[in-house]
Amino acid sequence: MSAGPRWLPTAAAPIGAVAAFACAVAGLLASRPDVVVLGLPLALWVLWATRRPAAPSGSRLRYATRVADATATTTFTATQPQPRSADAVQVAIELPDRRVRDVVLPAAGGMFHAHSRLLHSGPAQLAGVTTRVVASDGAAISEPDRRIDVGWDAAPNSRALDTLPLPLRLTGLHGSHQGTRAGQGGDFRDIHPFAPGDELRRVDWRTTARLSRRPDDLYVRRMLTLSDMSVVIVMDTTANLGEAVASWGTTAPDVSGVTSLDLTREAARSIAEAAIAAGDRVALHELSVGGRAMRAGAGPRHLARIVGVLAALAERDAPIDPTRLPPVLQGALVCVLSPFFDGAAVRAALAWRACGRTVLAVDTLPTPDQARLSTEQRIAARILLDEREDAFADLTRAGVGVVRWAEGADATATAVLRASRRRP
Amino acid sequence: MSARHGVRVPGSIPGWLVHVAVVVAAGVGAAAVSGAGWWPLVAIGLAMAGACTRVLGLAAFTVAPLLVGALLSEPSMIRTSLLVFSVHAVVVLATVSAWIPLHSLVVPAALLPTAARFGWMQGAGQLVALVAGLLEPAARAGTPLFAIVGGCSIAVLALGVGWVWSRALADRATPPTRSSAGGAGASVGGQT
Repeated sequence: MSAGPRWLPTAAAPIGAVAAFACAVAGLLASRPDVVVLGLPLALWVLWATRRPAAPSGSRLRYATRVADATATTTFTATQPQPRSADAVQVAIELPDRRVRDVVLPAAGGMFHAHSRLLHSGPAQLAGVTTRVVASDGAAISEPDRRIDVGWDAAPNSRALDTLPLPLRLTGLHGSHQGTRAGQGGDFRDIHPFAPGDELRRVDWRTTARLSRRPDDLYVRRMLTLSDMSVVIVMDTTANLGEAVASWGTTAPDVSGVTSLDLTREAARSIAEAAIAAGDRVALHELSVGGRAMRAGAGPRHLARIVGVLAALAERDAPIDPTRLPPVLQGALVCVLSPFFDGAAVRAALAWRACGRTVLAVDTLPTPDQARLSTEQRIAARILLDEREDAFADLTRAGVGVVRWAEGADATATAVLRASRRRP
Repeated sequence: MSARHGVRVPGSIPGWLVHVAVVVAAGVGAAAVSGAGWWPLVAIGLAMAGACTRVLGLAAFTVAPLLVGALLSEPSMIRTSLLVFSVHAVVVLATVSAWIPLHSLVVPAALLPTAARFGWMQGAGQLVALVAGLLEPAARAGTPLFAIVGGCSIAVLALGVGWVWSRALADRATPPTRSSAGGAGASVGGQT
């Protein structure tokens, strides 16, 4: 059990006492009562400053964050609960750019706003706040309270996608996609002899009159079934590469431009929204150790959960063990979202394709900006990008559809996905 | 909002105003002892150095040249009144400015308790200064009235000290209380 904050004395009272004493001694030695009087207010102040105030009760900090126009504004309210033993509350706010701003508020309560422009989606650190209370004009200052970190998970944008590629096999008997099996809701499939289980209203009497050879021969019209689709979104979160190649390998969110994780979150949300709007089921997996996973689900509440998970999606350290890939439903459309810089995403996509899944590789690397690179760096970047092209060639040969999400800046993402709307 | 990150405090003043106030207070005292050679300039210089460096001792040391200036000047009621104000203000403002950084934002209401205390202590000091100024000629003439009034002043001061001491004892007897909702670092609300 901690003892709580306590007062830390400063040098103010001793310095004031020395000044008052000096005035008194100098005035007495010089026989100058007007000089002695100079020390009287100081003596009173020292007496006040050396009195022991009640134990500091810390400060109560409330905050709420709202986001508008890509700017997160956090409103803080600091008060000192009763009984108040302090004059003021001093707040130190560490901003995301490491600058520290100090704010002095009255102990009775005060408010301030911290604002940050959000450059990226995902988790963002808005402010780190530390408070302490001040009494006796600063002659007593409490120990700092525990630091409070305020963060915000910025949801990604989304692009409207009309259609998604269909997998080879559709599962389920309810949905909006026309499958190849006999069922209900779809187009005409064929004429088939009546079998136990067929509905009598499906009997095609004209065909029966034309084809039946015996009185008990009946023919039914069979329709194609409407099925739903399962979409599994697999995200590679082990790399976060910005469009500025010079920023690769550094943590400089201000100069990196749009990053691969930004595009990964955006693509995942767009695909999830399109799938759920079509009545399909969506599952989510992170292709990294300790990554989050969401079971397949449908409906707006599931979409809201997905958006929440995507907003909290952060870069992770280690890629997943290739032998422990996330489970993927049979007949599901697997969308692998990655900048495809390391082999983990490529191996996973090839493994799922080898198991017969329909796999779509979504390249989330932003269009690289190779400005301000040295010759050696330019050569290294070219080698890396060429290796990526080799990986894409391998994926295409294996029957994996490849989509470059960044190209949506020129052509709409709908057109990009429609180009790959085929069953590989 | 041109800066990417920032803090806004409604109705606040910049913290450097408190530091400027130290220099202004020293300037008042320096003006009062303007005829005392270089000592007024030394006082202003020390106050400026203390304001810039936020070293409490440096700013409070401004009192020393003011004191020397007062000793070198002829006593007068106005000079004594200004010096009582200046010396007190320099020490208090130096203490306040020691914990308020130059670039901080200060809500003026946070300094109201300090201003109130300064007011009543200054009132007491000015009252005694007025009495001392009135009795200065009598004191030089050797009239025992000065000793009587001086003794009464000390008695009043002793009573004041006793009152403050009794309050301090009462505070010491009061057990420290901490409400559960107001614990250190209590974090309520917000959204992450």
